[in-house]
Amino acid sequence: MATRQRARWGLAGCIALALILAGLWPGVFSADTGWRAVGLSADQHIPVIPATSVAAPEAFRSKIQHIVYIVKENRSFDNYFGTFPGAEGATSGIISTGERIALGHTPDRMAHDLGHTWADTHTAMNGGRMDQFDLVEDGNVDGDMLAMSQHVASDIPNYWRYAERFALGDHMFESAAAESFPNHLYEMASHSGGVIGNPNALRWGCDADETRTRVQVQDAAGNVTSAFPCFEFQTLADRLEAANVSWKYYAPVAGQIGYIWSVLDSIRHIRLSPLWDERVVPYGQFLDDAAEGTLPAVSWLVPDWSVSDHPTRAIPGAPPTVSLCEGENWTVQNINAIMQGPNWPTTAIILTWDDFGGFYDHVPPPAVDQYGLGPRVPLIVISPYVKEGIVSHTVYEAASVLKFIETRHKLKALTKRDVDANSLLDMFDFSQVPAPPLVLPLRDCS
Amino acid sequence: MIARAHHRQTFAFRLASPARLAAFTTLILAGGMGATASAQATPEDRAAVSITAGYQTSQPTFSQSITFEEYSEEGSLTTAYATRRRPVADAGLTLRLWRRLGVGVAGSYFHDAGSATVNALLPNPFVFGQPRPISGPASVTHDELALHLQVAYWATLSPRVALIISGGPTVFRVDQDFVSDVTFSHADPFDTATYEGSSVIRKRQTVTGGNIGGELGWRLARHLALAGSVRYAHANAVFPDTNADAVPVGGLHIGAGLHLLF
Repeated sequence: MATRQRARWGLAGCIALALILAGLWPGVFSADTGWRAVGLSADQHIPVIPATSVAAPEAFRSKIQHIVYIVKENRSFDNYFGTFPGAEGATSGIISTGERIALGHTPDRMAHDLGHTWADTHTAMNGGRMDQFDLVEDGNVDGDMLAMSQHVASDIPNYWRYAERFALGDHMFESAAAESFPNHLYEMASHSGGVIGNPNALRWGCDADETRTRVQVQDAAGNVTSAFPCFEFQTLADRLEAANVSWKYYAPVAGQIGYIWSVLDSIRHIRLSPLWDERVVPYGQFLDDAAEGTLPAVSWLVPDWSVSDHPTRAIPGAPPTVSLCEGENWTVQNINAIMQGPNWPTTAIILTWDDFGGFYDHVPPPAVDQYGLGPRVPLIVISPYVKEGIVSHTVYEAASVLKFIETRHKLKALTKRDVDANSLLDMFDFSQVPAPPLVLPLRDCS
Repeated sequence: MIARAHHRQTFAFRLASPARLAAFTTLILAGGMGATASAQATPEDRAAVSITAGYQTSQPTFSQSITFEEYSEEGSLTTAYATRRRPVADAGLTLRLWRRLGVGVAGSYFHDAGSATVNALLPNPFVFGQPRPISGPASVTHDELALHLQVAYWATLSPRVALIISGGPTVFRVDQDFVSDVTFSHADPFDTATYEGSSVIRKRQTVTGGNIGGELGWRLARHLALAGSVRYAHANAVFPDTNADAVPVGGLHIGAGLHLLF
């Protein structure tokens, strides 16, 4: 009898201890969001003394006439800048066995892609513990541990030079804890319409085959259904259009593999209107517009597959491997065109990556709603007025870029995300002597 | 949060300048000397030490206003400060130097721990022209340490009653709390916002103003008298970089205490 009672008390004690630990342990699962909020606060501030704590909007509006938002593919912050001085990086990480291992070296051409779906992402994050990246699909093929690898400065010297000379954000998180499609939607609309994955076909958006193409959509209650990936909601492009602010979406065209990332194809009222032909243009046109000084007020620039930085994935018709060196060269080529063109003195370039791509990152993302945030991605901000050589530790996401554009053009927010997001303005100093251009040589990738 | 300040000068409490006070004092003293010189005998006392406790009866107000940009629209924030009626401690020394004329020095201390009222109109994140009002209190304190330098006219009205009329410049050291940051919260759908609190910052400023007043003594013993006093002292303290109006300091003090006579 006494033994049974002791056992009962022991069991009760264990349960109590487990509950206490569950409450204290960071990033423990909760029923509604999957993981506990660790970040953004709902409280807002009005600074009275001093009344101007960040760059004044008037100076922003007078000094910046062109914003270029470049979205590349599939890299985590630790994968690119884990060893960057002054940044919150990592050179080792914990895997699913509990063991801490040194991050290996990511090759220029990856032999295979890494899983980074909604499920992979949540597996990797493991409720904020960030210790299961080795379990994402193909994260560890025959012991290669590619998910637990990173680049060093000599692999991506030009990205590093931009980061050293201009500004690097080390707390930029992917908006949706998922893969490309929802994150590209966030870059246009500050939400994804509930989309949590890529469509199940090689053609996305309203162009897709309506009889067969589906994408997973999660509603506010957490119910997941499938839908045709052609939506009807407002985007920042609509707001700009209504305000007579010029904009263009430079992206791959139908027939190119990277066309899947041309996300305005998924917004029915744009895809099926004259705006599609007028404003959505081939990405190659960006070089001409930059060189001629005819960039619009706001540009989105999306690469094609081969220069996207995306680890290789077995896609019919795609090159067998994607070279990061070539992807960096493409970026440099476009940024050089801006810097050598007449628009440079009044331009702000936001260079970021859509999602973490399955690569390790050690910082638990803040939980802002049921969709995100996801792991960190790199962010480089380039402008004559960016604070030179800083590493910003402010929490950003795609909505931060939208908020930055909205502030510049006196537009209202689209969703709760861009209401709450931190703008990129704290990375700017409009009173500084304008930084000269940094024209970089292209690398030999042979 | 991006804010842009405009310093708005709205004086809620406008009073006589120090120069006008000094001139007025001189006039009173000159008139008083002429009127009483022939009527009164030369007083025996040459010095009076006064210790009084009183009340500052005036309630000066001022405000602090900014405009700021939030969600691509201008918002406004005003904090209204009101100094309340509070006790004043006062001590002084008057010396009669020649006939009924003398000089004096007095010090006073005033403290008010109260609250200011914050009112703001916050732009709506999604809609132009639909600001959301928030309002709430902020705990602030106000301290004044004053040194009153005086020219005095000392009249003995009867063997038991003496009147000292005095005036001159006053140096105020003012410590004032100002609201430095206002916190609010809001949630989807953002139709309303809630005031959560304010941070304050303490600032100090020294300014010169003027004072005029009188003390009436009722002799109880050779060296001791009951005293009643009235003094009006005033200055405006400007605190740079606070986005606040000039802060009125001083006011009308009414008090009672003792005179030690020598």
